[in-house]
Amino acid sequence: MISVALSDLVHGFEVALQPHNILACFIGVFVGNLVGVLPGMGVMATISILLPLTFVLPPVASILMLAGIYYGAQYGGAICSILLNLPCHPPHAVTCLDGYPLTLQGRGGAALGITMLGAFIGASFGILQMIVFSPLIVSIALRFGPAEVCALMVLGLLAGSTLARGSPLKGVAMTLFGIVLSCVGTDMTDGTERFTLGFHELGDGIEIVALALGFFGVAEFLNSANRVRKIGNGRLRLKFSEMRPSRDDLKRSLPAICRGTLIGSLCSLIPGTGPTIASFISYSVEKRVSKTPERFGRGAIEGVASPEASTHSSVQGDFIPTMSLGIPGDSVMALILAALLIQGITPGPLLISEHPDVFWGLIASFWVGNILLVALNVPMIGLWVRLLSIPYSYLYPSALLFVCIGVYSASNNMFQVEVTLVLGLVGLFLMWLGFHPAPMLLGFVLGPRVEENFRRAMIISNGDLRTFIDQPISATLVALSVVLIAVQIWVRLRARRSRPIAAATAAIRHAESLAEN
Amino acid sequence: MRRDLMAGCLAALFGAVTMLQASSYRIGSLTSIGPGMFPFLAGAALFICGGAIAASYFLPQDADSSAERMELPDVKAGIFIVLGLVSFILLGERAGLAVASFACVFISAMGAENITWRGSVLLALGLAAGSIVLFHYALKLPLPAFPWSPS
Amino acid sequence: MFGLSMKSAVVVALALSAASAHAEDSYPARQIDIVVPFAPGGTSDLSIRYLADKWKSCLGQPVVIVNKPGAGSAVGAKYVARAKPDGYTLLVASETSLVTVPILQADVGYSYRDFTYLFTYSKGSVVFAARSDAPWKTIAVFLDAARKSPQPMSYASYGTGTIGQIAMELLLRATKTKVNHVPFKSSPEAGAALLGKHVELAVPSLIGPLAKNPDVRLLATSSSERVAFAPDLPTLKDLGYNVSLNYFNVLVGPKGLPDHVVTKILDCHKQAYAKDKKDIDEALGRFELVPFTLDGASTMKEMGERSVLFKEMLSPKS
Repeated sequence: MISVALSDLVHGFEVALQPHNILACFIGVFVGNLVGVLPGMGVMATISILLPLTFVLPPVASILMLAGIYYGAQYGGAICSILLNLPCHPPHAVTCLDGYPLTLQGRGGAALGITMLGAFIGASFGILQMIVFSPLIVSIALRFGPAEVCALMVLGLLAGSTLARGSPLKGVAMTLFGIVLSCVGTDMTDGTERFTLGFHELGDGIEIVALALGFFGVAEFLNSANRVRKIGNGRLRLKFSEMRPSRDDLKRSLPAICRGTLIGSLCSLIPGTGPTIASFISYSVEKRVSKTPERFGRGAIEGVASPEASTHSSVQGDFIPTMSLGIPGDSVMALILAALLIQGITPGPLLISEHPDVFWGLIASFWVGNILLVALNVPMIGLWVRLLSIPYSYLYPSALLFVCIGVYSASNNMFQVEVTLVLGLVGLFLMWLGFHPAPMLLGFVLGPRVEENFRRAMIISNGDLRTFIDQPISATLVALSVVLIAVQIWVRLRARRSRPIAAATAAIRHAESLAEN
Repeated sequence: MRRDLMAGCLAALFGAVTMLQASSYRIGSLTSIGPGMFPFLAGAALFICGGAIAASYFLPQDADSSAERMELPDVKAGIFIVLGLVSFILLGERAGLAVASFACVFISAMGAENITWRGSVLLALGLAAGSIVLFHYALKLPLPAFPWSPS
Repeated sequence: MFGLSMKSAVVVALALSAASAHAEDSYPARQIDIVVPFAPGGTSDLSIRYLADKWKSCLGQPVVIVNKPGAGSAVGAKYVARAKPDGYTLLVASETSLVTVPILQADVGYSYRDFTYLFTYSKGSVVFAARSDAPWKTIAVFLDAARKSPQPMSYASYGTGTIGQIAMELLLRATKTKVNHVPFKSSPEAGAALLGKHVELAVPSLIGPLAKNPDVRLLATSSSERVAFAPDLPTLKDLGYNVSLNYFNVLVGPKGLPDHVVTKILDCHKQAYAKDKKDIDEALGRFELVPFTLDGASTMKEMGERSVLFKEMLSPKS
């Protein structure tokens, strides 16, 4: 079985290494990488611009190119998150949490280096998984029905609501705020418009790009303009050693990358659970399993490594349900599936036998593409870091323009730019109140999945809540959630009992802060 | 911290408003869940959570729960950033990408302290030209490019 | 440089005013935007991209596809309904934007009457799909099982108000059966729910990948006649149910579009068809659409009838 796969893979490389296919792959990853660096600029928009090309290109070349845009964009996505605290694409929002503090400490180059390493490992695992186990994995993933997905998302919410630094209660409040924001829009079952305040443009809800760029981008500009002169230590020239991750970084990152990769590959297989959810969940898991969770949010390298690896393995893994079942995990994959259909190729269980050149050529080109991307990006790290030597007074007006254009391009609608402005102001106010935006984004991403799947589960089971504990998968997930809450409470109670001294110092601080205010 | 009290009260208030608004949608029952149930529950949870944050003001603080102090943002820069965004919103579809880009960058740079007039004009011109090439020609953003381009 | 641009602006303005004097002869004088009210990749998006490419040489101007998704297509539709009726902003519409959205979103601010109908260029349908290992191999057996089942069964659609839901509800009403509706966000998700044994039946619109999956059995199509891409699949009529439902892909413009615009684009469509009939039919078939031309007036009448029918089907039941 494996040897057959290997010989097929060799055939795949023969296909992928044909000059015109390498060229297609290169164009794809290059364009993708470029678009990925631009805030909000969607992969969707880019692919749809190039879609007419596929009417005339040969099938293999066109699919390699479109796929290249998709995973290439992820390589660019982390750069602004780490260096500017600007989440260009939703999956990389969580990378801001530790990536930006690292940049402020002058270690942005190392963070980018780890990102590349995580990306490559994550992607490679995603590809391997596609070669070796895809039929088995897909059959497990299909067992995630509404009840299971709901339970998984609840677990994700519980684990992640304290993912930002600061008071856990405030984290929970922000998660809930995100859930409420995610309810804005047309209800899925009977079309009721909820919380739209009379704006029809809100009928599809708040655009996630508008939310992320409003809360992280605009709010950050408002907050830092004239307060920050230069990001980082502002030195023009970086020594190579400063860009290379240290031994300690690697030691911390490698296990994190592995965990992130696994979470990403699981998420990619469950329909409707893309890279954004994967990266958020892997960050919160990373913070949970860490022995030093207090480092998170202050520049923990694991907090960059894990979600980035997760994003990349999820992006590669996304191709598995699309190719082997014809079930795309998100709208970008749906577009790639459409491109295949245009060529008269139907993805599905028979794809491998009917069009081996497409399937194996695609897999081989993933590797070619990822190597090209690493080769493209690693030498660029130094250049990107030099971006920081631009004074902030020049940087933020430029970034603001890119934010405007990026948000507009998400649905070609100026209204979403207005939403970004409002959310930016709200975000600034919340920051001032001591709320961190990251858990809100988590609530916003996971909330709708919880609601819609809970409702589907209830329709299917006729309102019987036992559906969540009848099946082994959802029962396990529910049990894990209960354990998580119990541990949280136990830790708090124990901390409360054994801390007369801590309480005393805290009381002094409390008094101090009262005096200050 | 007094800010916690305010934050908690605001969160609770927001939760209450959400509950109120959600109750105007159909709540339904478990067999047929209406559009109001989920936001109502989320609002209720937010109400409780906000209450707890407000209450924690009266309790001795945990060492790690003291939020970092935040410098107040620069008001002048903030106003110009907002105006820059507004100019993009108003001009984008009417006057085209070039004008909107120039206005957005130029106006938002007006609030910055250490940038010269010359610098901000050059920056705005450069970015306007760049955005035309990149977004209009290469990425085919469906905004008119110039005021005289038909929309 | 600025002076030069001013000069060219004047030239363009002059050219435009000259053009409006002979609007009828010279339409189109510039690029035509066709709005697709969904994200890229759907059948209406793909089919219009393909056709627009074919019209280009006849129109002599580029046709640009603009995706304006949002509010289940309301955003894009409203944008076009309010555009200037000069023939430079058109919409690819279907029942969803013309009929369903105005029903579900009462204050959306437009109705199917607010458009000028150019023509229908294709129609599509939904399929009824079950798992191969399910005991029901036909629609009749499924309906029978659903009536006898102690627990209500459920079916997955690709959204509330979609043709999938309405076709299924029509069938259920005709046969006095109750099956719970579980809305998903897309046909593939509905298909996944079926494959994962979470629902008993799925009613997706795009069947390509499902049709080739050995774990899935297609039971029927909602189309009024058999479809070219799955010729063995019976229609509901073949099976003895008086139910058929197709969705139409229609090109519309804002209300009050001049006749010469409608004629010009229809002419170009006919010309392209005369030239590449085989290619176009084949391409539409790949998007699982049936080539079908219906003039504007008849399409509008059809939408009026559907508006009444859908309103009845989508009204909240007790």
